[in-house]
Amino acid sequence: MNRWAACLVLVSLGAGCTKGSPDPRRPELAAGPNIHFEEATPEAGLNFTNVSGSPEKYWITDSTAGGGAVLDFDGDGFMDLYLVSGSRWDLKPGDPPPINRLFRNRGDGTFEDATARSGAGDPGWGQGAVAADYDGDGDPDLYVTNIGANRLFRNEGSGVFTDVTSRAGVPGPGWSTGAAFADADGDGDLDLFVVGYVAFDPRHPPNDGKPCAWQGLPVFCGPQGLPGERDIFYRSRGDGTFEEAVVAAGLGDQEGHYGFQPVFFDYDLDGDPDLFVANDSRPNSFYENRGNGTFQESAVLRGVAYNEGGRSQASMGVAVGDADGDGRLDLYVTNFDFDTNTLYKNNSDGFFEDVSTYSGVGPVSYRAMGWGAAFADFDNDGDLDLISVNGHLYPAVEGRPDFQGYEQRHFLFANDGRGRFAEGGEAAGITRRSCGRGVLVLDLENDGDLDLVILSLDGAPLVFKNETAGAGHWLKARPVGAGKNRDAVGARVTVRWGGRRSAGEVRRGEGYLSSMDPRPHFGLGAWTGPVQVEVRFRSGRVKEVQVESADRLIEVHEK
Amino acid sequence: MSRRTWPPNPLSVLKPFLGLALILAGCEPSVQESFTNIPSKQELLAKARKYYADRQWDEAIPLLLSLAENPGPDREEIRLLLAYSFGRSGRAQEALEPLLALLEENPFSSAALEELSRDYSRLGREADSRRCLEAAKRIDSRTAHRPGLPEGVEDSPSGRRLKEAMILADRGRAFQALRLFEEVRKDRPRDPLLLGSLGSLYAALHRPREALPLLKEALELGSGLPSAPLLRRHWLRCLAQAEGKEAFLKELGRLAPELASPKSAGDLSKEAIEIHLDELRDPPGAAALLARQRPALSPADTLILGARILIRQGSPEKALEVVLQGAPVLAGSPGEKSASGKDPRRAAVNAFVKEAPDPSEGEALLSLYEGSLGNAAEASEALLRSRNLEKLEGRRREILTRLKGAPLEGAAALYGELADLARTSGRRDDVMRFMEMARGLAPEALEIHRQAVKLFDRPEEVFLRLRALQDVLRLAPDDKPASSLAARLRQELRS
Repeated sequence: MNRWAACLVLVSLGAGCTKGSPDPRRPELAAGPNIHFEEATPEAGLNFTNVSGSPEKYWITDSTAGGGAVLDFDGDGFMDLYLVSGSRWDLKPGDPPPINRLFRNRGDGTFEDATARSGAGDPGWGQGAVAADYDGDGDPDLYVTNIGANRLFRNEGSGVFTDVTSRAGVPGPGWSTGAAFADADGDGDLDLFVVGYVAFDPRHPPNDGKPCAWQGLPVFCGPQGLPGERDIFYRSRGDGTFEEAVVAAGLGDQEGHYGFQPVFFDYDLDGDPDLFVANDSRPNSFYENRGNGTFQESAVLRGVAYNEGGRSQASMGVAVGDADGDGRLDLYVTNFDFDTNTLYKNNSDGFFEDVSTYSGVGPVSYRAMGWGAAFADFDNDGDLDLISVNGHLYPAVEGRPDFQGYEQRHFLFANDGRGRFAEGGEAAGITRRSCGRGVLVLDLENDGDLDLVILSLDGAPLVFKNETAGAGHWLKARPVGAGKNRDAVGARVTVRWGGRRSAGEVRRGEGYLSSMDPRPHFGLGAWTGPVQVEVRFRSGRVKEVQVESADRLIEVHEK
Repeated sequence: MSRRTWPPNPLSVLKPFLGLALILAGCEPSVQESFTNIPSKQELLAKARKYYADRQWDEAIPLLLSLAENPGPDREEIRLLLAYSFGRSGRAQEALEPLLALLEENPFSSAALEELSRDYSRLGREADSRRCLEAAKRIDSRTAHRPGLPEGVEDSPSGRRLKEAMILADRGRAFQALRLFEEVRKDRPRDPLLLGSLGSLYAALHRPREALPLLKEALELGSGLPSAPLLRRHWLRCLAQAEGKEAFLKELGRLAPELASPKSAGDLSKEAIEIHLDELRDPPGAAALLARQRPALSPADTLILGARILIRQGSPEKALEVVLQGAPVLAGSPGEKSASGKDPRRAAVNAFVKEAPDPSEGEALLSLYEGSLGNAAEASEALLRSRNLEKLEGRRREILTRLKGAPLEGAAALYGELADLARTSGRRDDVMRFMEMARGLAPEALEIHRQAVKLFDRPEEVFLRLRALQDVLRLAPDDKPASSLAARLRQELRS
């Protein structure tokens, strides 16, 4: 461009004979959410405290525990909770180890401890859990990730679980973090992907057990400088057992990344699940399903390996949802403090774009340390809002004015309908700070609005009931698959109402080391009339039903 | 904030005239003000960044186009933003130009290669896309696993420069990395991370005499470094190269506690056995050590090292027997085998070919295996490859001996020869490292740059080749073949 052309550019930028008017292409941000939660922790009765190493956090193992699963283990139609605890290195023989707990929902948002009679109280050093009906017998099973051997608990249908890990052949790597189920190869049953974090040997801790320095503070060492743990893909044989198929499926983590959370989702709408893995301090991984159960790694190409600045981020939790209402699933990844959480918009050309600044989620999150996250329509207005849970890694930051504290406030981002978000967690009633890790989104009382359980390191779960005044109408559409994939994992649910459209997907394993309410939920705003529901199952079968009015839960059966 | 910048905005000279013209034209004062306050380049760039962040492509693109013409430290960022804006607004073809221009100036820009990969994919040029992606991954230190980088390194300016030097070393830019390491060393003379990284780089460049004192000091100062076991292995190898068997064995004896420790014995034993084979040419010594340290080694390492020793002892048939008997271990888990449909015996031989550091040994074993199956043609091809690789290895050892005694400043030609051999042996990482070292040591040597043009012949090395061509044309502007080759490569990349 010559100098005269440059001058013309300047003229177009800098001049005008009248004062400028607002650019109609720039959406105004919503004034703020009218979403409202009431804390209901004491009355919920979740008598559980996460235990995770020493309070001082001497080692890296002490900092990551804190996922959980939402499931209806007894088939009464109400969502129960499985909460995961870590453990302690200094347990002496005879000390009772901390155990994971299963809580039964009484139907009114209060819970009773069902751990003892269920047999699912694993005493391992827990990290997270995924609930999924892996054997297709109609009830949800539990896969628990640990530092040490993982556990697969099969639900026997009577509220009792049996440990079938050895029989199924899914012990996982040495230190597992997140896990996710999906029918990766399209053969009708659920396969399992388990992420490994660090190859940690307590007999040989890094730096000979001495602390490392971070921002002038003594903190535990790692993960930098430690060898990464491998990820494992277990392919289901269809008889309740699995075989390792990492190399055959092309899902090998050859770099030994420090993985946290995998999420299967169909990014290109071709009907098969692709896989994103959030890796701590290393490039994220993204595996495109070739359609035959083998995968091609393409995180850099697709634009999700790094943030826009080309840097690897800490990548702890992952939320998947259609943030901007264009029908494609976007990715939200939580990160370290002094770094932004990242929203990757799924463009129509097959590539993702970091829109953290544009969307508003980036600047707000810069000083917080993010973990669990989930997209959900909390005000039932037809677009997806976002919950994003925070808490620091190092207790040593407490009291230092340059940090936001060890316990941090949590973010609730309200969507303006076009993929731009305004944060208003405290205004919405999520005022309690904690050292957050996982977050569970579920409808506690089946009243049609989505509630929250925030899981915290070394703390009790915080329960927040959704009491949004004037919230919209809603529909829950639960697909039921034929055959072994009875959970219909991978099914895409599209609802159409009053000229609008929303889409969701059935997933098992997301957020931070967690799995959410298994019933896809759609806000309908003021609409109370008929709703068209289309379910495209993993098998390719499509079922369409018309629901005559809003505010109900329906099941859509594949056969 | 001062509005003065250097170099001054060339448009600023027009200010008085524009102001006068506007007064004469009778425009409102606000309009006059907007003309007379012509923004500086930095202000324009800030505005472009804002448009870009707001996804206002139609505003960002013309502004970035106007800025991309000017030389300056921001040019790389401007070209990237321009390409991103084109790519995201559906104008992928137009994104190619700024990316290609950027890559000609900096072939090591992985961000540009990644975006080029996306734009080629948007244009349906999938093979080109994949090629760029591979190139980006190869030179991008972010994708490389770098054990031993402690947290907090970047907290000081010298720490950030140290990290940059490590990145340069990761990317194969050995000469630039050496320069920067030595510069930072003045500020951090006793930093074990720096000393170890610099020592390791010298070791990778086959300069054991330079590497040894650095590695020794790094190990003394930083015995707790996560990378200490790796440094110890480099130290051992350099000792064998520089001072021979006696010194090596003495040191190995001193390392008895580490060789007995479950934490370090596996990797250390493997390295020591390989040093016996590769540096000391002592298969009996390797066999004795293998027998002693076998419990510390993984089954796969035991099999591969055992087979290597047998080949070196003149018993390749026995080596093949060992590998085939070890097929269940070497070929992967039963699940993998059944899923991939691989013949486990062939998979085991392939695993050996892949793992053996001396490629001639792998080909020798493959030749025997093909022969045992009656595949005469494949067997003789593999044998031929093995013989050729053996010759190359002999030549390589000869150059390394010469390199050991040569001053670094005069070693450009030797590195050029090593790069040549590395290409023939298929060691692509060495091609880049040695060639870049040679180019850095002798920036005015036309023949070195010509050699680089010849060696960087892979599609994914096209930008390294273009950079070398620029140097050739700098030193020999009338070199018509070089000029037409550069034009052809540019044309291929654009069309």
